[in-house]
Amino acid sequence: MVLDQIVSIVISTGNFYAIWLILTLSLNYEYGYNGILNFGKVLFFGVGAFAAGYVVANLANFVAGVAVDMCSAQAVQLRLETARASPVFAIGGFLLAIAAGSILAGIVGLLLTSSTMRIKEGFILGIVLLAAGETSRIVVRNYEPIACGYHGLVGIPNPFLFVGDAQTSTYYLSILIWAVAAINFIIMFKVSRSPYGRMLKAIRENELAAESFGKNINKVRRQVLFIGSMMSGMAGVLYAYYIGFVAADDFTSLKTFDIWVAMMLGGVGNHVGAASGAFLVTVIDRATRTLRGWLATLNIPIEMLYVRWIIVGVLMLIVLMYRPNGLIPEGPIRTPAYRIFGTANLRWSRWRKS
Amino acid sequence: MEISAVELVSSLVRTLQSGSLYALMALGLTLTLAILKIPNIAHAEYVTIGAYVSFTLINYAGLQLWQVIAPSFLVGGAVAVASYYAVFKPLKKRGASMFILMVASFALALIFRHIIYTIAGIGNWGLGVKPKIVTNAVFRVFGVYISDILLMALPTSIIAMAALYIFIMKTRTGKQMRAVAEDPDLAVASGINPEKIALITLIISGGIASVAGSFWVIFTHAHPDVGLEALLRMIAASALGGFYSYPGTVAGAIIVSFSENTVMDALNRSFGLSLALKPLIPMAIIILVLVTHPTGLSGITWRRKRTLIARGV
Repeated sequence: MVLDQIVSIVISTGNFYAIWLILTLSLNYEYGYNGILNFGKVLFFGVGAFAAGYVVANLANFVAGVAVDMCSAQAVQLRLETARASPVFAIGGFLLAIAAGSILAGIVGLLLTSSTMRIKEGFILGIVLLAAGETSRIVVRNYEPIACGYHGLVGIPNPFLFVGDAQTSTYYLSILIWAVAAINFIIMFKVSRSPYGRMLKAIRENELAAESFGKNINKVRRQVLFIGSMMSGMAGVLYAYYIGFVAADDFTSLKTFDIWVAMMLGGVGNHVGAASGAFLVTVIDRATRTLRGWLATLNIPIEMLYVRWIIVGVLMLIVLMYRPNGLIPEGPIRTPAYRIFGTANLRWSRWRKS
Repeated sequence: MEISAVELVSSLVRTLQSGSLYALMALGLTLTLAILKIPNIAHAEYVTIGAYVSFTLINYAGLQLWQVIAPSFLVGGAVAVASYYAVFKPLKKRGASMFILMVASFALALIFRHIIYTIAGIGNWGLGVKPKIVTNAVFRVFGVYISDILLMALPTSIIAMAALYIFIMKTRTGKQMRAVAEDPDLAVASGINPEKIALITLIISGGIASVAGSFWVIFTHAHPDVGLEALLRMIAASALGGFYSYPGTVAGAIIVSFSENTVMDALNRSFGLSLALKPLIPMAIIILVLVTHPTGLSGITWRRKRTLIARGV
């Protein structure tokens, strides 16, 4: 009994961590590596999640050959039944949702952010993207056909529902989420060590210098934004599949702030740091949620969901004041040239001092 | 469906009513941005704090509305000064960029809002409760009601705006504030104490936002999110004014309020646009203004426009 509880806590923490990891990596790729002040991350995350819901709901109608309203209880039943009966629909729908969600999020990110990129003052760009995120949330909440408006789209089927047991299919889905997160991490890690990653850092440090070396800054920015938004969209699809429903009110700008805290806390411009920051934020999130249940049984009227945001806000302020580079600061890139000349340079300077 | 004249006039009255309050809220945002170079998102929480000061004093101490103006001004100013000394000053000393200051103020706003949420949640009071104030219709001109709250809120905000304008333009301290806004280093070199200016700016901006909140709560209800709802409106007003101009901010607030009330009513009547999309208007204004014309109203050179129009271009 206790073991079951522990296993379920570990699995849910792990899955949320994997999703948060993808988001934090994508923000780190945009801000930490290329200095793009993306304060509207939740928009691209939401685009992925809504696309997943929309694709699955319409695909179920298409496969079953009926036209029921996708918000009705009948449609929920239909989706779950179809996923249980046909593995092709379940897996195919998932793959289609991943493709549609990430590409749509990438395109939205490319269009929106490249049109606002000419705003040079950072905080204005931040405000524009913040407003854009809230705008999309309000549109989705009040426009029924996207995700059933205020009530949200319920019953996104687990892609492994056909194996039978609900528990087992959750395990399979967790493995899948973890695999996607791991692939993202490996790719990002490789990119950050490649010449391309060093070019991104060069652009971040000094645009003019990078341009004088023949780098097309706007093109690189657009690439980074497309990839980063795609990753956020992918995380959104996984999130929608894992929790099983999408509602507009889930995607407030607080989510953006969470991602920023994870990145700033771990380390800007350093994927290992970002991964550990995401872990800390997930642990805070899960721990306060678990604590909330205990407090409710003890009749203590402190709402942990609010205390959680106080903790996160204070953490952010402390990091900004005392560790502006995060817990694991960005180190030098260990290229072969650095190994030779970097250490030699160091030795030489030591020698000169003494 | 056509809009009748009565509905038009009453929507214009609502425009004035909320527009004057938006102007009060947004002026503080513009002041801190122009003088201290802090894009303060936590400014919205001063509105919430004012709303709660007014709500508690009216509902639990039985005060009248005019009696809560001074306490909410003081509390709002004190919180603003405290947030400056606790967060913004140390960050500025470490050379944080404006974007980092914005992120920090976002964190501060979260902390304030959720502290209010926690306190309101413990006692289970003040979550969506209306203040106990009876709104009386004083006049009824051709079917348009004018309430006594409006007759108090509108003159208060106009007097506050006028006093602020005179203070900034005519007094010695106001001149110093403008000097700091123009060039901080030069201002320090000519013997102005920047800390004093920061203190005055924050007391004024936090105070008037709080007073605006204490009126605003009468029209809505006491909830920790009232400031958040007003935040995008005041950013829109400030952005329309070009972020650094005081008359522009007031004009921007009136424009935001006008498009929220009158234009939204008209769209609802003629195209059936849902009134729930009302928050979309300030955001659309923010995005459009900042992407197409980042300097806002203050960036338009009126004289050149006039000559162009006179030439018939």
